Amino acid sequence: MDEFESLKLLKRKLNMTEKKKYKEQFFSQLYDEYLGRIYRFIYFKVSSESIAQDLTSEVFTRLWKQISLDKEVKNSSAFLFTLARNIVIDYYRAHDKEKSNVDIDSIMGTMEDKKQDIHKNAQIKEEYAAVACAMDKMKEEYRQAVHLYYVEQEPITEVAKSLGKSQGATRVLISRGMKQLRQILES
Amino acid sequence: MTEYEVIKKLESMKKIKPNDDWVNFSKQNIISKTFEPEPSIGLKDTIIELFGVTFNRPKLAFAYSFLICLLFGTVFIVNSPYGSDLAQLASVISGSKIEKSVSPEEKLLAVIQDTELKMDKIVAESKEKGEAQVETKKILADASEKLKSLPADQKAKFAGTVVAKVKTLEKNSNAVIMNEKEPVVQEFYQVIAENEIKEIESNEKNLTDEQKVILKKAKDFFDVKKYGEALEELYKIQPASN
Repeated sequence: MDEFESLKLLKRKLNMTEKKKYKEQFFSQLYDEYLGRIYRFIYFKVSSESIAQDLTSEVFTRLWKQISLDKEVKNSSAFLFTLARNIVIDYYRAHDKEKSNVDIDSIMGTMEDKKQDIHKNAQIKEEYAAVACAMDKMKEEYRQAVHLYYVEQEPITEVAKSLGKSQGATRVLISRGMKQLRQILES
Repeated sequence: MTEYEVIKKLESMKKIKPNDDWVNFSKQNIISKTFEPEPSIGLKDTIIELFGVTFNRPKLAFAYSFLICLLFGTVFIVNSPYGSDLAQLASVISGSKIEKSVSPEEKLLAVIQDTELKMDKIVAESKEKGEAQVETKKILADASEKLKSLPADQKAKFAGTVVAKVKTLEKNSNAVIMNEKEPVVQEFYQVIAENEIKEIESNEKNLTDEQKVILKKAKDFFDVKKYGEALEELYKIQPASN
């Protein structure tokens, strides 16, 4: 192999390394930005920390596959939430499970304030349990809109992107979702 | 719980976060994975896959086989040099005759050539008198059928040719082959006589009184279906008119 060929190979290797580095940075950016949201989104559906971790990993593995194979990811938010929804559906289908009830102890375990007293914690737990159970009973479309808007506190534009709907339609969904949530809580 | 309280509760749910250790471990774990692009499915594979599925179903396999045969068959036949002939074949099958596409002159020529060839064959083979008579009768019967299918204006020419050939044959074999009383022969004589009368009549003003008397006599014979006699009378006029 002559000098020119070696140089060419080195350049190619460098290019590939640079490309890989760039892909890793891009993935890392999306991972940091969306991991919490996707995790919570899945967590409220499966009510198990370990399963939520597994499924979240699966979502981001597929994202990494997409990026590493140079496939375009146009709308990251919509892509990830759609992927998460499909993975949860697949999970229930594969395990032949009914949708599990919300495990409030598990949820509270991740957000319990150790400084607060036991009484206060119990009260908070009760209120969260009610909201989480009500969310679980909501229509999927409304639930997702309310989750993204209120829990994830995303702006309407982002929620609309994630749902693949117009801003007007998203506002309607959020409004109807809240109405349904309150009706469930009151009943 | 008021709407405000519900919203506050929902917002506070954002506090649910995954374990930091898991987050870092998971990230490194995912990034360490490498993926190879799946081999693209080429046209060949697509066709094999498509037809493989199709031919695995017996009903579809028969249907597709039939359609493929029909398609290729049609394309082949239409593009083949026999393509135009198919239209003729189709017309024959459907009952109409092939002659439609052949001009009357061509048909006459073909019929004459065919009959002449048969006659020449008998002459060339120098067959015995009886044998030649039988074969000539067969040829005359065949020629009679052909005569019926010919257009009116060409019948006389054909009939004349046939009769002339038979006369040659008789002369060569030194025997009477053509019996004038036979219906087949009468048919030929009728055609020839009719044509001769028409031709002479068209030239009647040039005829002499004697020839006119002969013509009348010939016509009388023709009317009583004595075509042989009619012809004999007519031949008497011919030399003078020439």
